[in-house]
Amino acid sequence: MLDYPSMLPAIVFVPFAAAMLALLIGRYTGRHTGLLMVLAALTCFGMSTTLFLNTHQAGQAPALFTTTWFSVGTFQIDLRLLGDAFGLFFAMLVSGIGTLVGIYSLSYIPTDLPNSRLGRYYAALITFMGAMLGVALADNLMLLYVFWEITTIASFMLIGFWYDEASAKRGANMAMQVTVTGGLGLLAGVVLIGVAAGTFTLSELQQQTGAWSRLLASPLANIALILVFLGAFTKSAQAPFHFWLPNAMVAPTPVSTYLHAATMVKAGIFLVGRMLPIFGGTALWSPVLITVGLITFVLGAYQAMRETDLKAILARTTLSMLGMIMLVYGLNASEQDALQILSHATYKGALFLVAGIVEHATHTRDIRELGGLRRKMPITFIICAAAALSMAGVPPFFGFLAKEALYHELLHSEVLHAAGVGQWLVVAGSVLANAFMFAVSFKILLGVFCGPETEKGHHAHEAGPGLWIPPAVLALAATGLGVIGVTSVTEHLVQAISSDPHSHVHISMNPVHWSIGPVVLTFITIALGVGFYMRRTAVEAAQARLDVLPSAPRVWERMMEHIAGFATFYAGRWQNGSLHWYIAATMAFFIGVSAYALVHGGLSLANATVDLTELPWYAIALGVLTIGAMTAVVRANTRMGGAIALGATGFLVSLMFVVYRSPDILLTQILIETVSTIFILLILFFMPSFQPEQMSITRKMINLGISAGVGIIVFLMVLLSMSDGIRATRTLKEDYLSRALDGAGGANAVNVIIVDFRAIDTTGEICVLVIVGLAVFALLRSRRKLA
Amino acid sequence: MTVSSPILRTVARFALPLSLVVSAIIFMQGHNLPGGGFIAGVLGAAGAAIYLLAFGVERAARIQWWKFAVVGLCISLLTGTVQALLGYGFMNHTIWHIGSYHLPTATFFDLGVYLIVLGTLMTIFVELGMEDR
Amino acid sequence: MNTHLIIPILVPLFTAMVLTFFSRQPVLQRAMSLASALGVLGYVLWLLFYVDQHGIQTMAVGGWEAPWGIVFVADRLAAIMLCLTMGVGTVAMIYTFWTVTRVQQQYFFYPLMHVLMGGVNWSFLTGDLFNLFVSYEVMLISSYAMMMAGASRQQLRQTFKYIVINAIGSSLFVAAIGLIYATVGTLNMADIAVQTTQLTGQRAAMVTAASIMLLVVFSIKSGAFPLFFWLPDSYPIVPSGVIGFFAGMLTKVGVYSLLRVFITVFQQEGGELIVQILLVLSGFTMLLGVLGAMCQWDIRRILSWHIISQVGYMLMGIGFTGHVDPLIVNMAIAGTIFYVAHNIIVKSCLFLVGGIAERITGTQELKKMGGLLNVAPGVAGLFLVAGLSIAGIPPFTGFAGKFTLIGVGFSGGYFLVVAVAIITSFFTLYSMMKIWTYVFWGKAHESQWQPLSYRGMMAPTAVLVLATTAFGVFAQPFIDLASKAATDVRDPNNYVTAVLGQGAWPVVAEAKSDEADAVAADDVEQSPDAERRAVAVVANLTREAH
Repeated sequence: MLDYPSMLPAIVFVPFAAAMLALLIGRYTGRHTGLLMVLAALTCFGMSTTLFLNTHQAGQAPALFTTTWFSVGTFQIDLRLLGDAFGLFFAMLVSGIGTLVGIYSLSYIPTDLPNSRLGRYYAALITFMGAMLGVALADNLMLLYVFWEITTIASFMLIGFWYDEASAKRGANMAMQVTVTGGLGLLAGVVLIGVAAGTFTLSELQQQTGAWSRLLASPLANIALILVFLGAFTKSAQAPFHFWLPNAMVAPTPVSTYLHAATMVKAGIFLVGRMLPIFGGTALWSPVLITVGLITFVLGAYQAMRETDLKAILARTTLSMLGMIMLVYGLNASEQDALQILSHATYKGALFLVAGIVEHATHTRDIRELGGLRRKMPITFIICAAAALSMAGVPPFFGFLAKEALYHELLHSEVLHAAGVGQWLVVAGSVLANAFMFAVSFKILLGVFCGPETEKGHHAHEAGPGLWIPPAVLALAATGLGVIGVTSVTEHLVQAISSDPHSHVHISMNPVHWSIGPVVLTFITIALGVGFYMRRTAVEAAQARLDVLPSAPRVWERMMEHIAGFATFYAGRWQNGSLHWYIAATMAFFIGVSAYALVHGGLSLANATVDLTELPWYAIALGVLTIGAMTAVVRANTRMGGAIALGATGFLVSLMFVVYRSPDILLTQILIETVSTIFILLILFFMPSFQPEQMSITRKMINLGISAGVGIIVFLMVLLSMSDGIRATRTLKEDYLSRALDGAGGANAVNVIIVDFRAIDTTGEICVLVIVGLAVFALLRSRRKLA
Repeated sequence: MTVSSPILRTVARFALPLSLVVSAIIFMQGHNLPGGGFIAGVLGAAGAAIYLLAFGVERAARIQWWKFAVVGLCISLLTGTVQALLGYGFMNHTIWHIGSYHLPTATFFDLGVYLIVLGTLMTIFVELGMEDR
Repeated sequence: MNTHLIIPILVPLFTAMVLTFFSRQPVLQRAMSLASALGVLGYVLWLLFYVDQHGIQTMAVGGWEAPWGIVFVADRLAAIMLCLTMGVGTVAMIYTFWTVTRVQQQYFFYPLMHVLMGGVNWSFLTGDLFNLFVSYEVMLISSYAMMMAGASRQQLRQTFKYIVINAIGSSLFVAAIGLIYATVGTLNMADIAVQTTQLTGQRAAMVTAASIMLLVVFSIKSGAFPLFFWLPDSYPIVPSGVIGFFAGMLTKVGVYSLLRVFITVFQQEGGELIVQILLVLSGFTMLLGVLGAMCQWDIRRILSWHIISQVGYMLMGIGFTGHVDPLIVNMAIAGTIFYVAHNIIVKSCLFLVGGIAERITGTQELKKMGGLLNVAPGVAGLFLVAGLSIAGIPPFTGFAGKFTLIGVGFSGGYFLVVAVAIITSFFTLYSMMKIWTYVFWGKAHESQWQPLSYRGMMAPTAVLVLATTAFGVFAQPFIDLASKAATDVRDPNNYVTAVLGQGAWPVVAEAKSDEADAVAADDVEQSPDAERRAVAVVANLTREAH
């Protein structure tokens, strides 16, 4: 049996190993691969629970596993996993719901798909579970980021499960883009925290040690916090990044349940919970979280009213509840975070699974086409009723306790007291949002299961136990935790698993313990909610009139299109295939940086001390002639003329070596010029006749400017390098001359350099020559062969 | 491709042997006087090119000139390698004394250069010449 | 005397020459190619271990000592690059066994590939500036020839541009070498380092101005903004398989040269200018490269543009070396080296996977591909790992590389360019997912597909995928190696001593770097290393903020 600290890596490792296995055996096991997921999830759940019970009951310090992954200079990334209560609660949530989703998938996922595709589905799902468990247990911020990104990738793959359809590809890519934006923000934020604090260890920072004070004293702290928020808000779909979540509903229902209701979207919330002990006291914390949370809270619930697709409704309510939990964190009420997370996970998980069952039975999710299923699907109806009532927040369901706790906090929060009028805004917003949630709950429950039976419902029948057991478990939890709330069991439980187990959270189902404020708010909420439900057509009509803003997904897509449009424009212009432009730009860049370096170094013609008057007249004449010949090359109207002028330039340059008395180079150059002129003439033989380019005068001027620039820069540099005070005082010339005969047995130092001193240079150049020969041979021969 | 001119043919008939002899001399004197494998190779190839222009590339095309280049590179590399295997170090040229004549092993290296230049230039000539058809 | 250092150059060249005689015996040719490449690979791996334990190895070619002769130098960085060259080269070569055409093989495909590998090895080993130029020429000429293999009109047109741009680079290279020789009086890199340490005033300024030309040359080679023109145009026409080697190695030779020349070699006063320019260029390179990629609809083009943006990351790492703190400089170089290694492996891998997709679907256009996940899930898996690695998603090598560079950048206070790097990272993932969405998802257009076998090509590709996974998950030894290599690169003392002998390195510079260490240590006494750094950084930032 594993000891407690080694269970931590085991919890993370088991799913990844199972995912690998699923990939390998998937093509043989097909839909049965789901059993592997159930098994892995149960194992993790068992280990998490064992760890939790051990820590909680024995009152021991949380289990810790640590080893270094890698360290670079001053940065160290540890594989550091900590089994604290909140982390283990999250792990239990992830693995527990993972088990249920695995069981559900076994019956839900169509069996007519190819085996390997089913194997990949489960592999992605299990990978996701492993990554979430990693997020839950990581005690190193970089490690947390690592798992965070893996959840994003797994989510991409799972949303795109129906990848034959455009909507799935769209939804997957949008979710990916938004969450990756946040993920990169998180990376930047985490690295900034590491740079400022000198550590990535979460618990060290949470305990407010020296590293923590360094972090908060740093001007980077606020930027880091904003970047971390960016990560959390995109992952948990907070406004204005909320729009990817409804689009992600193209995923199979088990995926929506697991990722987009119960666990992944809570990762952002979880992260904020982890950050609360670190940044909770900073000036940015409450204003940002309360604003963003409240907006999302109200917006989600409001939009949920309008939707007609069952999963879309649920997605919007999920947004709303995520916003609510952000709000709770904004109030620093971390003692009730587990309560809110758990309550939402139970009823929302159940509702999503019910939506899947309904779709399975009726092949539609449109609430307008549904109705009266109560009789045909009694079990599903009961499950849905329990979950919906919990969402509505009526006693004795768990949701009621959560809502009471929220209202209590809203009325008593010190953070809000300081805000003055703002407090009532927040309270009013929350009541409004909860009233919408109430109405939506009944819209779902009554709309699907009550009223007259619809056409689509004729062939509906009760689902098999594989499908209804998982939501039943969740619904039971939503009911049970509420009912036993009359005792103090629920209260103790949610307090123990919260991120702040030492503060008291006051909830009870026993009316004796209710305080007046929250109860009044609840009554207002229910009254409003009933009103909204009764007048729902009017409400929806009013919403349609108010709907003036462009839809958020469109805004995002337009933004991406604009960026792509700009990129297309730029890449097309920049990389336009014109060699002319390529050369001009390269040379212009060369002129720019060289001139900058010269100016920066304070060099100009004034530093040149070369006495040009010392040059003999024939050298100057040669120079002038060379310039003339070069001009002729450029001005030539025929290829032949150009070739001859080029040859002339070459010969004139080789004559320069007469001036400098180097016969070897002279000889070489002359021969090379001869041979290359012959080659050029030979090639011209095959070229089509020359059409001089019609260039505009500006273009000519630009070309002239660039070539003059290059000439001037190089000329200046050569002059400078020859000047006293710059020119090297020590050269190897004398050494070469003296060593040539003694050491190498040759009187011709040039040749000795070529074949001996620097023979390896020559080796390279002769390789080049050989390849030229081979290349010409290969090119012309293979062309002839192909033609 | 042939430039059929009687003058060129006459010149070419002399040019070929002459250029080969001159190139051999230039090659041998390279270590002490202006010259060397590179120049000699270019000279040899230039003479041969004139010959080919006069009499057509067909004759020359029967020879696989690129193999000269390849063999040349092998010789040059082997010169260095043999020295290395003998324990002198790569490209560590020594001087052989054959009677009164000093033959630096660098000369073999230079011979490789000669063959490469000749082979490559001839390949280009011949292949370009063959393009005609 | 380490005559064996010539092996990575000599053996490929010999192999190439011998293979030309067997152009009509494909099987023999492949067997000999493979044997040669594996042999050299074995040697360079041994060399890496040897250099890591025994320090820098040198070899004076022809027995002529520096600065008169040419010296080959194998330090850790060079050895790492050699291993990557031969590793990726061997993998790409095995891959080409399935892709090379009969005509290509008959016309020196494998000989050219060996010369190319030999040339790349050469550029890593040489310790002489002019010899570096020669190695570039060897490399370039064989790359021209390989690009034209097949001799289609499109290939000739693009190769011509590639040749012209590189010819400009070569001319500037020679000009720069001439100017540097005139000013410093030597071409040996270690000797240049010695000569330039004491340079000040107008001589130093002249060396900087001349080395700017080298900056242009190496920037062309590495595909940096604004000189990357040749890259996106020419890579789409390189024959499949060998493109893996091109994409992985060729630009990195430029990056290696930048690291070697501007950090180890040029030490003159005011030489930081180059590094500052590189830092500015890096931002543009990253962003414009990745923007170019995101709007392409051809798989090769997407990947080619990405090479540019990732070179930007490396330039950024080099740009960080302008920092005063030697610790940060060291980490920056280490990060760059690690990133280079990562990129070589993964970039090759992506092009190889892309080649498989091209082979199955018979097209390079994304919109005509699709549904490969159903048909070839294995290929999808290979792409996924490589794509995620290139985007810097953990736990693959890209993550460790990206993390190090971002961390160093933040520590050094280079916020703007790091922000650009992070934005670039987003678009990298965007385009990888675009490829995934269009190539692997969606419906298959199987009617146009060719019934060609591709399974053999997966094995060499999988080797690279395994490498990026293994080096990413077990990153520590490789990061340590990169850090040690970085120390060699940053402090010319070891390099110069190995080449020119004990006492060649002027003591002055040594004292200077000691001083910097001492200053850093004075800030906080007796605190653990990490905390000390953090405090120093925060202190700096607070100072800046006020």
